Amino acid sequence: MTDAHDKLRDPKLSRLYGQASQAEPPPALDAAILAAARAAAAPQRPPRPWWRRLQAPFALAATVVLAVVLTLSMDRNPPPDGEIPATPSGKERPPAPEQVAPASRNAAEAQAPAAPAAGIPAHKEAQRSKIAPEKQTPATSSQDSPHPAAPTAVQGAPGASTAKAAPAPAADAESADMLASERRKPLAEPALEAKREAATPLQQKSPDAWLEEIRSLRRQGRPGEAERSLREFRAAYPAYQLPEDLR
Amino acid sequence: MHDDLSDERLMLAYRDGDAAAFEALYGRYRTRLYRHLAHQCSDARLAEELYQDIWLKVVNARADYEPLAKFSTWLYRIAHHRLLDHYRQRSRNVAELFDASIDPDELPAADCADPARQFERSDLASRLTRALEDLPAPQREAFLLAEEGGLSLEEIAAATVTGRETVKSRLRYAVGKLRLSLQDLL
Repeated sequence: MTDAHDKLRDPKLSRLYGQASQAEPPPALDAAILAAARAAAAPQRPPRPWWRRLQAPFALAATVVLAVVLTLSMDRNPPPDGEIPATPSGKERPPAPEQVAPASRNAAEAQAPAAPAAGIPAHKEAQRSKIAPEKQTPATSSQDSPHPAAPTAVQGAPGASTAKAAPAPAADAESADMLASERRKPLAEPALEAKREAATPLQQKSPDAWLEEIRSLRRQGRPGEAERSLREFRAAYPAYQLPEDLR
Repeated sequence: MHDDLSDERLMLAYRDGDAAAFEALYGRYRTRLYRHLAHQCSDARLAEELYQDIWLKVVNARADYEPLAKFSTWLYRIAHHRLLDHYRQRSRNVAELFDASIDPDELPAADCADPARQFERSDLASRLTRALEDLPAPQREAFLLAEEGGLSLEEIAAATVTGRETVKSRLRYAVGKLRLSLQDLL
């Protein structure tokens, strides 16, 4: 193969060709080609790794998921009342019934709901305090539309927490007077008044007084009312051991 | 740094972004390719144009470069195709001469036999250029690839996409004719 190639080449002719062939590419052409080659090989910006490219979307998605989870968690598991600084805790329950109740109601009756707490476990008491506003809010809002119960209760909350101080009861009494004057207006119907009276004992009567009232209704020959009152009693005090005559 | 590397290694390095590797490679082939083209087309401006086109093809083909053959073979194959394109644009007859089935004895000489130009080229380079111009294009290409490019018969065959025997025949005829033309200088 190489021999055949060598036989085809003439050394004298090759030397002559080497002497005669002196052409060179122009320097400008060299520069242009080399510049094009360098430009083509210039390091282009390396593509960022996939995890860097998706960093921002992942961060955004994580933030959204976290926010949604926290929102759902707060909705489903609201913090106990005691963890909210603005609301009273323990035995100092919000005096919503007092806010809604007429001012003429005597103090002993107004503070009656605190009494059964001594005989009922603490968690039951907390549960009852949860139930009570739920039951009462629709009643008050449907009856006294000019004064929604919830804002009044919130406003009254700090006052209730400082119930032992002198100015707070004064503020309560003032708001109660306003409510009373509202009810004293001609528009306030006696039937609504009676209904409110029937609703408030849920939270204000002691269990014994309530049961006595039920017995009294039975004695008066009003078994329907007695039965309804007993159902309300069971709902309000589910753990209370009913006496034999009322079971 | 790049002196010890083979042509193929340099091209691979350039493919991977090493511009200095291309400069080294370019330095090895710049005169050889340019003279090959200058003798092939006998027109300096055209040779420069073809020369630039060929190197730009090399640059643009770097991403797909694989050392399947010697770099010189690959480079001269690009040159061969570029020359054929040029011949096709200029004269279909010249391009057809590269058909391997044509008997080399029947190949006509280049149409540059101008007595006035022959008189002007009294020096060695002019005599050689004149003798090369007298060769048919395929024979001239085979001679230049062997002499200037340093390619073997097989490499010339690969670069020109012809058979080895065809290359051998073309080369034999080219050398014989050149000896005859330049016998007073040998």
